[in-house]
Amino acid sequence: MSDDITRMRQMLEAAVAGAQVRGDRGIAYDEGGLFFSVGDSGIEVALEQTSSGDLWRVREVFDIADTVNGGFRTVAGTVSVHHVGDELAVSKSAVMKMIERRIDSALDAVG
Amino acid sequence: MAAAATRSAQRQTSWLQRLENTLLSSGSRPAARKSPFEFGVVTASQFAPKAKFTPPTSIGQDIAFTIAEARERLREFIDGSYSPKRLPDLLGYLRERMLRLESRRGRDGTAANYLVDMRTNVALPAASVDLRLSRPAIARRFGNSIEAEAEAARRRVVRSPELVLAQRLRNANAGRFLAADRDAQPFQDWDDMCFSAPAMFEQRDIAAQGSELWVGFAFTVPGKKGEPLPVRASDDPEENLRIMKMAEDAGVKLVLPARTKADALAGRLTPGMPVLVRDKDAFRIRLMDPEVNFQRLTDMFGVSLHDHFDRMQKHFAGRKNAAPKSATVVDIAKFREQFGKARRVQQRPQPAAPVRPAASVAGAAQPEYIIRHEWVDDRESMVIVDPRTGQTYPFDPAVLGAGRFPKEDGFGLPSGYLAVSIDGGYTHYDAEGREHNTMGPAIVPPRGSGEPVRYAEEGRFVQPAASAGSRERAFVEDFRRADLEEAENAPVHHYVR
Repeated sequence: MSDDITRMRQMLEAAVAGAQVRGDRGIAYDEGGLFFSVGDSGIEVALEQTSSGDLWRVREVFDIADTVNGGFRTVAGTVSVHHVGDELAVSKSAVMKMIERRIDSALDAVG
Repeated sequence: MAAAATRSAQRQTSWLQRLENTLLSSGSRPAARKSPFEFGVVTASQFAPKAKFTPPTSIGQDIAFTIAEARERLREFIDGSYSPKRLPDLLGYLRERMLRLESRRGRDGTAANYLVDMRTNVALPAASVDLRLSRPAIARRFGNSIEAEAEAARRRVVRSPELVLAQRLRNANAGRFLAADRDAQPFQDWDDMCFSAPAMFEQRDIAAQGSELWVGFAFTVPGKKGEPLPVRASDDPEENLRIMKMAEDAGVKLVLPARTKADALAGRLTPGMPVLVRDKDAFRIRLMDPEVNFQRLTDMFGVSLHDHFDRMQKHFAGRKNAAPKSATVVDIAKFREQFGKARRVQQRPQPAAPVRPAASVAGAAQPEYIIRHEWVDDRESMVIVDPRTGQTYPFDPAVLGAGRFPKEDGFGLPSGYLAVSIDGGYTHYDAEGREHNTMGPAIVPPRGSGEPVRYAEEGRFVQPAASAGSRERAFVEDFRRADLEEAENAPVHHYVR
């Protein structure tokens, strides 16, 4: 298990560095929650132990303006799910999602 | 169930379709095979439906909600035949078409509008459907953003005085109700709960009316000298009915500690349980925390509050009957004189340091003290506050002892809690139980342990900055900048207070 986590960290760090994303605080690992945070982006990679095997779940956490109850509410959505061992695809998915959100934000600002 | 059946039927159909296509397709069949039924086990296995693993990328991509479909649903808006005057009108128009316009804000400052299909929950960037749905376009057109609309909604939400009171007392008892361990119980037994109630709920008591737990002030009747005497239910229904009549005449509503409404009307109350006033100072305890309700506590303690009081009543009655009468008659006046004096002599000036609170059991910490955590003179400051006297003491985990202590900021507002371990280390948590401290390290190990301190914000461990001061200054600067930007961008007319 620790090998998987080490490999996952290496992959994520390499993917973030490869994407040349600036302004992030690197990859942080929460030992209690068993998940990686990709910078400040709200993209997380969580390790889940299920009966059918261990999985990596890439999820995005963001706040939504709640026009009914007021204020903001935090929402977490699944981006993708992978088997442990497929760390390359996991890191790719996480960083792609992070970049996609930045692009969405930039394009939205153009309008 | 219906969706599962539909999926199964679709899978079956697609399998049959695949089988049919393969059989009819000469290219996919070896030339030697004349009959479509001349295939073996190996070939058959190719036609069998295959279990598909969760799509590795972008869950929901295969669900049909595309830009084209979104544009089709918004045809009137896009071609200009529908022109909403207000943002709520547009949101309503979208809702009618099973669409939702969401303004999403990332933790890294990214923000964008998304159009979400309410049936599949698939989101598309709103600007890709129509540029007039982007954040700046919405702000230009309607004069306010979705965030501003949410802020207005927040102000509109009516909160009952009962809920406000429950939330206030919940925050004041954050150490007990907001424990990091979600499974930890806030109370050990009914005795613990009833004993803690006056300290936790500002001199209020607890009573159960049916299967509803109430917190409120006890109904009082004038004593012999006119002093208010709190009323407890009697085992005499006549006496209870007399009290109820008295309250009714005074126009006071009561929380009647009875098992059923019929019992309450007949005066059959649970003996010994406080009779509470049901007014603006009373609230149902489940509003404080949904997990703390009558049924859950009954399951947890193995006995209901009514049964608990019944047992106590029987116990007392048993002791009263069984106790041998002493030949020595104690003079109450002499007794008070003797022990009253002794107690007066024993009174001492306030100690220089706070008394260590009672040893805490996991999840049953007694928040005797509050930690005031603020930024003073460019550095993190923590002091221990005694909420009963308002006296402050220098922060020292060794003096506090192990337990969870609610934190407040410089304005006296709740700001999470501090968990002190038995060996003197401590951890800062925010109100949601995540490791969090913007002013310094979130986890401080025991002195002399040699372990490094750790920094965390909202549960995420971060690299330590050059100094805690620079982190806090950066935080304050960010806050000011965000505040300034919001003030500049927001239309003035929207923020009517």
